Amino acid sequence: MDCAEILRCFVSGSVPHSPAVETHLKGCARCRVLFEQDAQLGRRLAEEQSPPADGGDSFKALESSLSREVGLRAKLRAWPTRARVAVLVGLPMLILASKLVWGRRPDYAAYSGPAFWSFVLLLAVGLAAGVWRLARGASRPLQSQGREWTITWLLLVLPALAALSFPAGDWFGAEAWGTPGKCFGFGAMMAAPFLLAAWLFERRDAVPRGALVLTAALAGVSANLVLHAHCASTHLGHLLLGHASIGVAFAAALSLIGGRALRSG
Amino acid sequence: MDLAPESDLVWRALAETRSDEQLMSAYVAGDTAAFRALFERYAPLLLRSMLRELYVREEANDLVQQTFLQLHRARLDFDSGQKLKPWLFTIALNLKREYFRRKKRRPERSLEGEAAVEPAVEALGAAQVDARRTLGRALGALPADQREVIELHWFGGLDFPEVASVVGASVSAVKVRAHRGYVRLREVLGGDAPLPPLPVEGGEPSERRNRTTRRSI
Repeated sequence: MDCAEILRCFVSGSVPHSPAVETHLKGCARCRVLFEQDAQLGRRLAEEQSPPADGGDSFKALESSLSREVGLRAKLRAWPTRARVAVLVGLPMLILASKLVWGRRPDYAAYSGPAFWSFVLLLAVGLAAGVWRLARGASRPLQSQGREWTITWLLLVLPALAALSFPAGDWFGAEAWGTPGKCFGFGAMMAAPFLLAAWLFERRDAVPRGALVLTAALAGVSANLVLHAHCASTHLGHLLLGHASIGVAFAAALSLIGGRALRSG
Repeated sequence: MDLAPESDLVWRALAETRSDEQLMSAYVAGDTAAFRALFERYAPLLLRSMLRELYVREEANDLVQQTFLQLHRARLDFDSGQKLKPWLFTIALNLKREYFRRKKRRPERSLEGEAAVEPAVEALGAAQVDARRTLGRALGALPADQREVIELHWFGGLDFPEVASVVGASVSAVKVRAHRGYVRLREVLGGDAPLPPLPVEGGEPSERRNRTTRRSI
């Protein structure tokens, strides 16, 4: 006799009693509670059986929804999660690789190799972890809201942390200030493919605010991956304003727009 | 996807003989009748679960629809080596959580709200309706993590390892939450109110009122 069998006995209308039940109760504190006071709790919980819902009309409504699942977006968001993750992570990495081949930062040769690639690795790992969480959507195990937001905020500030952790040169040299606005625009443009793919792959119709901010944070990470290979500025202010703030700006925009940005058409 | 309705006899027969995993595998392979069988098997259970906290039937129905729509969109993620039921409940509970977060708060309990989702009093009997309301309030008073575990374990019929996989906690943590929840429920429900008879499948309301609980103690 196990917990499931005891539960089934209650639900079927009887209070189970046998040597096997007694043996089980000796080791199971949860089931003992069900039997206390003349099995009051077990019997009360077994009463919670509402009449079954009318399946006919409900299934017709579902059929109607399913019949609208046509077109490119319906096909793409039905892709297996692994395939969607591979594309969402692969796109920024592909753009990064292209930048390294065509138009990499002028000081690349002088940049410390371990520092450069440590920065890339840190952002790539963060991107992969965040994309895996985002792509699973409603299928992910339940988690507290606090934990979800902690991870999202970490990803939002990850580019700034990486910039502080792997300095490429003089943080405050005036000549290194450059034009953060141009980098901001360029990075935002480089993140556009990621945002488009995230929208195409999103399975939920009403996208929760947390998922929107997470998407924005990941777009910021992907932008910073590309900017790291593109921009030679080492000024801390330039890096924070022109690079690391991209994710924050996207988060503010998507939060304002709300679910409409990623809702299905 | 062609969703021309199958005859009732065909899909009812399918639902009776195949497991959840077989039905889902068949649906992934293109058998639409299998999806209807899954829907008929789990939609009532999920609807009851939603109604215990939403109190608005249309919105509860909508969340059940969304659950199966998500299942459809995620069908290629299905692993026939894993159980379907915990996955289905994971989707349902995530959608329910997201619903309440959008609403910012849980709905206020009101007699009108409870009456809107309960069967007519004459169908059940006033005592049963009152007992159900009391139980509903007792469940609602539990902390969310305990309520979810009891929801999945008792009402959903998942075992503790399955509940643990849904809520993302260890089996021992889930057992502790279940124990605390059951203890709290017993305290809240108390021992003074007489227990109405257990409802049975079908039967006239008078039969339900007159039938006594089978007790083997």
